[in-house]
Amino acid sequence: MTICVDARGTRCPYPVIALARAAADVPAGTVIELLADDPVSLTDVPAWCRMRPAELRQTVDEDGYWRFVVVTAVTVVAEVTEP
Amino acid sequence: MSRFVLDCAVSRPVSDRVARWYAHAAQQGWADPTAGYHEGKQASMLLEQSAAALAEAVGARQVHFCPDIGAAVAAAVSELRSGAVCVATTAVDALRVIEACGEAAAAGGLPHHVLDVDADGRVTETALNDLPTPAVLVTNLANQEIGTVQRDLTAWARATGSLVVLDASAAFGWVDLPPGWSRVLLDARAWGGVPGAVAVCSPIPLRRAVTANVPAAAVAAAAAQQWLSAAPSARRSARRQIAALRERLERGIRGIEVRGGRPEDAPHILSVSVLYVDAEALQTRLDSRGYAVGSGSACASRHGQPSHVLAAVGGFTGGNLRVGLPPDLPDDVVAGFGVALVEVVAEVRAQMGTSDL
Repeated sequence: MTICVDARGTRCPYPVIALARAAADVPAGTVIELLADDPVSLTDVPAWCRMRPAELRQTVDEDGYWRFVVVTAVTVVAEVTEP
Repeated sequence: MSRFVLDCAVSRPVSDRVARWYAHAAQQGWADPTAGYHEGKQASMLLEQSAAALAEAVGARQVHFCPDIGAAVAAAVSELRSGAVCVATTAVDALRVIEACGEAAAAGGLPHHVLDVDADGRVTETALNDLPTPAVLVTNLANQEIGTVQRDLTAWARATGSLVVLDASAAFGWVDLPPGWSRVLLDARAWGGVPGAVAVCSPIPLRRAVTANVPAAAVAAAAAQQWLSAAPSARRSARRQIAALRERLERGIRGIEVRGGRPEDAPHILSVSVLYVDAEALQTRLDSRGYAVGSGSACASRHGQPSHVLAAVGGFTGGNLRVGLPPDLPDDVVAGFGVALVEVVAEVRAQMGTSDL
């Protein structure tokens, strides 16, 4: 299954928020293609994939924007204690 | 409301005492220190006294003051480059340092290399091995954003005949100087000196042209001595406070990445990146609660660029805050800041509709 998320025209932190939103309710192994033209995405999409974790399979330099191909994985979220 | 400046890694507020010394130095040291009359000699004497006192504090043979870090880098590199085949900096040095190294290398007809760093921000073995030598390597001792202490370069320098210039501004008093340096650069802003005095410390005496901002340079050493006498206890309290803050944030905020606060890091620096928030909103809300903190995020920067340090180490640059503790902050202030940050993240996420992510 492939989902396409177009975050062009938005700037940090919105491209990563759009990516996380798309990844929130899909099964592991889902392919998400994120389109973004904010250069900060080149740093933050790989970092988000490392933190999540998810796999950044490909970063394609299109004409004036980038296409990030991300594959979601099972996420392990630590229990959060409320303050 | 009390205000707490927690952005002290690069520059610290000037105390009333230092401000009084500075006012005095401005009246005594206004003249051109090279002028051959009484007022000029008085300015020259202020400069020399401060340089000698700082040299003793650092363990250098000579100190020379420059008005800014760019001039200090230019002075150090031009004195050392004659036997070198290139000048190098690392990808996590201050931008002005990298830029000034490039200019100083070009002025000597040498290539300039920016060395890769690992995920911690230390120069990689491969980058060092690939660097043509002998080189002049300019690097920070403790990183001003993420608190990483640079690897020991002594053996490399000795084996390759290279010379090391340490920008120890953020480290001064917090981290011990390693041996084997050729120059140490120290920006007095880092210890609450007045902006406009960057010391170039040498292990050998040299003749140099006078370029200093005399009043700022004149108070730099006294401010440094004051700081160094407080530093041993400040190291211990900052390490305790940063460790508790790190633990508090990691426990209270989902989706954060924290750098700094490990035993091998500078004791007073912490970098926190929070997912799904606008860094500028965090910074503004904390400011209105009385806490001044820095940010390495693009949205909070004047030039719209994310931190080159975070980018170089592969860190998340969004939602970033930088903490550089001042000395002598009570534990409950840092603890209160931790509580405020957890609350502010929740507020901003609720406002942005990202609480569920």
